[in-house]
Amino acid sequence: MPPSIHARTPPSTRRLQFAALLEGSTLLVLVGIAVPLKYLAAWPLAVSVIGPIHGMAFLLYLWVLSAVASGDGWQARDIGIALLAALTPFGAFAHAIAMHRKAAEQGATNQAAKQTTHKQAPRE
Amino acid sequence: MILLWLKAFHIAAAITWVGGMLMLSLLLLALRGSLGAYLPAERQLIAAVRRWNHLVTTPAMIGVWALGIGMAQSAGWFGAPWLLLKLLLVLMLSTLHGVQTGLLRHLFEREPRQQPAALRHAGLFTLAAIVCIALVAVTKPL
Repeated sequence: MPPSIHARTPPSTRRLQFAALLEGSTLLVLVGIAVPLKYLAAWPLAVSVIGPIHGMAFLLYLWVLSAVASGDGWQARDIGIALLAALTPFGAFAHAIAMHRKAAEQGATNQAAKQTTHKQAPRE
Repeated sequence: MILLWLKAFHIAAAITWVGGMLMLSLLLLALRGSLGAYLPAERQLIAAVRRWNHLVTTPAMIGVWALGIGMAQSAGWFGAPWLLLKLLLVLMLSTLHGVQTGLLRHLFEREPRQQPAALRHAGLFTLAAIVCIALVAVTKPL
């Protein structure tokens, strides 16, 4: 049985996916719930609670991104896309899905390469 | 009173974080030249620094963020220009620490590789940034 996609995804990519989802969720809660509550219902408490939490999540995402990009030797273009994704609502989710697909494709390619090597190995 | 407690722990966490970053800068600088396989002593040193970074330096950085945000919130500093400048410097230091952490992981798990040229000055940048942060936080000039 082939290993699950979760098992094939490197730990560093899983950490980045988690940070992206956290950052994206807090941004959505901030923009979609807390800010309207502040300006439409005159209730600023939500922004003062969610704002700092989103700030922490954003810093964590930037830190994890720089660690993964540096450790895995990312291209500048990929880093730019990841940064852009962090600044747009839903962008972080799209990026997390894209990383998941990329890991799946990479896993499938590695699996196919292993099988080819196995088939081509000389019999004793 | 709570602000003083937050400030004391924030400063302690910042000292721990910057100390760890300076150690990382020195280690990466020392490993710059070696492109062949590491000696056992070098591997042990990389593993020890990596463990320290994972258990002490990175949690200290997260503590700096959380306590700093807590201080700004309780003192009502959000929106002050000096705080924005300080946040920018912290953002740059955090990114540098992330780059160093990723590079250390690469050196530990894989093989020696050419480091970005700018990392040669990481220690100097860390010191300059922390001096600027201290000046901005204490004098609040803007």
